[in-house]
Amino acid sequence: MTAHGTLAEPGPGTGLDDLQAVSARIIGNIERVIEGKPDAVRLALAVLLAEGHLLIEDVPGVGKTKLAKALARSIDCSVRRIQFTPDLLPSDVTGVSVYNQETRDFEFKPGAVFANLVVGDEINRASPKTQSALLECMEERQVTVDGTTYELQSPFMVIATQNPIEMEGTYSLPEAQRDRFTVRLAMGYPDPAAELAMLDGHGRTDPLDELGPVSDAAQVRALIQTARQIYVADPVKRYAVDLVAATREAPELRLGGSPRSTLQLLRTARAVAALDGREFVLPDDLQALAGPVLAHRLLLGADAQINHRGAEQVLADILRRVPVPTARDSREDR
Amino acid sequence: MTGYLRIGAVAGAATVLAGLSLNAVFADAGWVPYLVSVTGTVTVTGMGLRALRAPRWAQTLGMLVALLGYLCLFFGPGGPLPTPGTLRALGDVAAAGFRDVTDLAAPVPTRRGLVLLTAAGLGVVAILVDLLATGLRRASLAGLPLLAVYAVPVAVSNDPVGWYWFVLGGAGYLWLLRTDGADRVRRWGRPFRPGPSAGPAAAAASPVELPPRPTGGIGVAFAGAGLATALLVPALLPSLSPAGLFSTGDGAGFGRSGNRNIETINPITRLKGDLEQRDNVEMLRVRTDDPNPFYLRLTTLDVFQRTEGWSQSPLEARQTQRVSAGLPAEPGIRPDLPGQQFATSVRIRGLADSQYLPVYAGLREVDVEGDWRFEPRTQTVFSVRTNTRDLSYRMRSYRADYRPALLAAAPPEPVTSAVSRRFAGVSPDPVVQPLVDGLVAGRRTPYAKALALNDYFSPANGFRYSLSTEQGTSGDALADFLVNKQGYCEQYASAMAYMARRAGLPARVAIGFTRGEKTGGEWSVGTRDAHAWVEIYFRGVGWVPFDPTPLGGQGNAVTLPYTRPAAPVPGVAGTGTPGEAVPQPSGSAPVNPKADQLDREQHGDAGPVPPPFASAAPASRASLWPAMLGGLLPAVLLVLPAVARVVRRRRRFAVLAAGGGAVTAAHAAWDEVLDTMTDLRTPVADAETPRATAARVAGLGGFDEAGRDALNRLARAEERARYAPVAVPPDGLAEAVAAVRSRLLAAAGRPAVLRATIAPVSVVEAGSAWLGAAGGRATERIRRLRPRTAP
Repeated sequence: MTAHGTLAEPGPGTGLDDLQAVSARIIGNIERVIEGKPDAVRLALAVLLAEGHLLIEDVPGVGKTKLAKALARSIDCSVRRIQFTPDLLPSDVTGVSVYNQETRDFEFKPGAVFANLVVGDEINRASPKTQSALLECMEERQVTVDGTTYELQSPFMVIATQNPIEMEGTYSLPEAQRDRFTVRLAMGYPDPAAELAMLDGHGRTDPLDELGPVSDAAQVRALIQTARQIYVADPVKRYAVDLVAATREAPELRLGGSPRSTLQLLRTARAVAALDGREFVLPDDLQALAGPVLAHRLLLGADAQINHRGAEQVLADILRRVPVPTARDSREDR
Repeated sequence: MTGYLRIGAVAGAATVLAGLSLNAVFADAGWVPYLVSVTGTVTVTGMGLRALRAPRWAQTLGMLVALLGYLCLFFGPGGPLPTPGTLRALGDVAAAGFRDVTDLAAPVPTRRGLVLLTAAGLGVVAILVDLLATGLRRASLAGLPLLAVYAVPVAVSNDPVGWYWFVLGGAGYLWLLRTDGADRVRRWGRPFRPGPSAGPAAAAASPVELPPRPTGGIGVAFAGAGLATALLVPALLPSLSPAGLFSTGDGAGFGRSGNRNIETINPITRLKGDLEQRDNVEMLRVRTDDPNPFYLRLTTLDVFQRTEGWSQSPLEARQTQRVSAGLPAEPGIRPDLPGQQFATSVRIRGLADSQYLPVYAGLREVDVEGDWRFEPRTQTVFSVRTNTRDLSYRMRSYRADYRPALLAAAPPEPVTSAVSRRFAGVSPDPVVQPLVDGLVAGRRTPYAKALALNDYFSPANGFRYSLSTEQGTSGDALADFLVNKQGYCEQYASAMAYMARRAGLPARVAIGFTRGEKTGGEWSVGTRDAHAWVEIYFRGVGWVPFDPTPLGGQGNAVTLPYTRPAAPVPGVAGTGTPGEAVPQPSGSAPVNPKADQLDREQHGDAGPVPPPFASAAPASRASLWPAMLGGLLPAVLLVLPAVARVVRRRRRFAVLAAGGGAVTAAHAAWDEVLDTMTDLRTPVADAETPRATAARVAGLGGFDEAGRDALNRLARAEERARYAPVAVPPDGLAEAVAAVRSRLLAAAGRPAVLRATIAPVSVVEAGSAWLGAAGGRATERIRRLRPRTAP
């Protein structure tokens, strides 16, 4: 599959209103498949707009892959799906140079990452070597094979799923690698009503098959540009820094958030604010995103593990502690 | 020493330190051993019982028994056993002490009764402090009895209590708190002590020795800062009382002499103190064109109570009664009253802190700086805002010429008249009444009655002038005086005024100065001229002075022509000799030099013996104004936050009404909501965004749809003002604030609203935030210096 999108310039009508309209279409489309999970859907879209990557971590059968597929199908762009297995090779992901007898030259066969949306299923089943091949691409948005660098397409988003229960024969992502993912998402079980609706809907046909694109890559690129323009006041930036710094200083944590996480936190907050139709970021956005963006990067200390406290709880404590920027802070900056 | 014993010992020490402030009450240090010994007795008993692990009630009981035994041993006739006889003797001593309390003005001599009361009181305080600090483990509450001890000299002493006594008492209390705090920490286990000195051996040797550091460092610094603030802030504030904390006058000190540089005269209270002065200090200087001036009056006492003697009803004068606005004519005076007007100028010398202005009777005009007001009923010129320190003023006065014929012609004052109702009613006394009846028997006119009473207090009847009056046994100072016939001006004036009232004459006691000694062209009035006399009201004539004190008994007393024994038979008008008919320059009558000399000797010899007439009530009256002002300050301080809160709210609504900048308006509106919540004790966390606050508050209850809308509008406006690149101009914020406020207040309930109004926490927080702003900015700067790296 190749990219369908054209390299159209983000023209008029790609402002905040446009972003909201398009995103509402996408969300509505996805929700035809994933019922009762508006927050997860929204967050996934926000990651796309923030040029991040999404890690969906949950027990089997809650719709991880379905969410990834639905998002991919809603946007008319190239989508690749990699089912990670232990025997998957790095070249399967990145691509390989093959000798062409006819041309008597090496020809590059692009791997699975050469797509706008890459769905990596059960990423923890692949060998660390293959995992890291994918993770390199995620960060650098380019692939280098045999000394030649190939740019990846834009937008580029990896949606990886992971099953935290089944540990047999898996190579779970090291925490350092998880840092590459902007957001970790747990789907959670649907509520009874949503599950009932799902039974009705899925009973006859798979709604995923009926899902058509409501947007395209060019439009998404424009939306990403719009989200980038969202204003972040200096006190709010400082608040983001304070939050991440607090994770580094928390005694319960062995490893706090990286500077990269601060950057991604702010980026995602911009996207979320844009989805909200707001032209500026609120501390509320940062607070709401602290869990999804930061929790999977944190390493709990022994105390927290003994006390059965998760990273989310530690983060909640930090959110309760770090003061939000007040009127005085904003006055000082003006 | 275990913790409980240590705290007990420190509690005792704190009591002693606080008790030392009583030094301002006593004239010498003879009571200090009792302070130390009684506290020691109680404390050691308590510690002993505690060491024996006696229950708390037994400790208290034991300390009470020890206190009783102590009092019996030191103040009773025999040993420490409280036999009925011993207790009776103790009761007598205590009764004498109570009498002294009502009679004496501070500083008091270390009389046995007073020391007994002091020791008993301090013993009870020591028990309370011990009980609170060790028994109940509420060391902080122990400050209350200690404060009560400190309040005694502050309330009783006329002079400012030295600041060092406050420091001593405060330090003792802090010591107690610190010991208690250290003990609390210690009970969590032995603290880890870093450093080479704390080897295992050392630790084992003193397993319970606690280094003060855990609670010490910061706590001591805070305590010291608090103490310093308590001292410095009053010193910096404009003082409302005549003498501030750092008065340069005689502070309290052990064994101080009676010699002072700055003089204070309060009616009656200080009278005797002044008369007892070893040196005659000049109080004021008078230059007048009156060749024969009469006494300078400070004020008059119009209320007599059997238990308390003469005192003054509260002085009241409105702003319109400033002396600068002119003085009202005394009503009911016949216009043809003979007399002459004189001009006088006065320079105050030693009379520093009187709130009464010394003036002549018949005052017509006063030209004086400051807010001096004229109270017509007592004919007093007084001020609650200033005092006579370094004052110079001029006055015009009309000295009436009270001829015997004039006075004799005055009809009796009707008992229903306003003057009679105010100045004649007084309860009868079984001892005095027959005497009065006998004296005025057959005298028909008021003048005749007054003369009869005046003449009664003559040396011929055995009356002697003496500053060392004897302590009576009947408990009735008035009757005592009339039996013992020894006293000074205060007794004479008091007795005659009382008797005059019993004889149906409106009478009052005047307090002031005799006219002083003439030096050059001026009259020099000194402490020895402090005087009290009687004024009797004659219908149509006014208040006529009578001075029953034996001639020469007081400073530079004068004989009044109409009271001379040689005066014509009272009641017979117009039959006087030419000497009486002509205004007699009686003041020029030479003061009996011998009597004067005698008087001075008596003055010099006079020991610190209390006046038999109750002086407590006049003292409290006289010091009422400073006390009221002193009470006003806390009241103002209490009201201040509430007022500040209202001002802040008004200002914010003004900002909203003015439709100022979007940012300012939103902040003003939101700040008002937050402050209202803070005042209602609904905490607003630092880590809560406006949106989150609004969501939480909306769920508190009491918020309907409109209220939630208003709240959300305010929160959105605030977050926009805080975080958005451009704020949107506000719309209806004032109404929204009002709506949210009304719902918050309604949901909180009446008590919380009342508390929020009276004690708005937000103002206090804003104040402390303002104080800490400088420090906060510095911290912020440091915080910003922290490197921030991008990935």
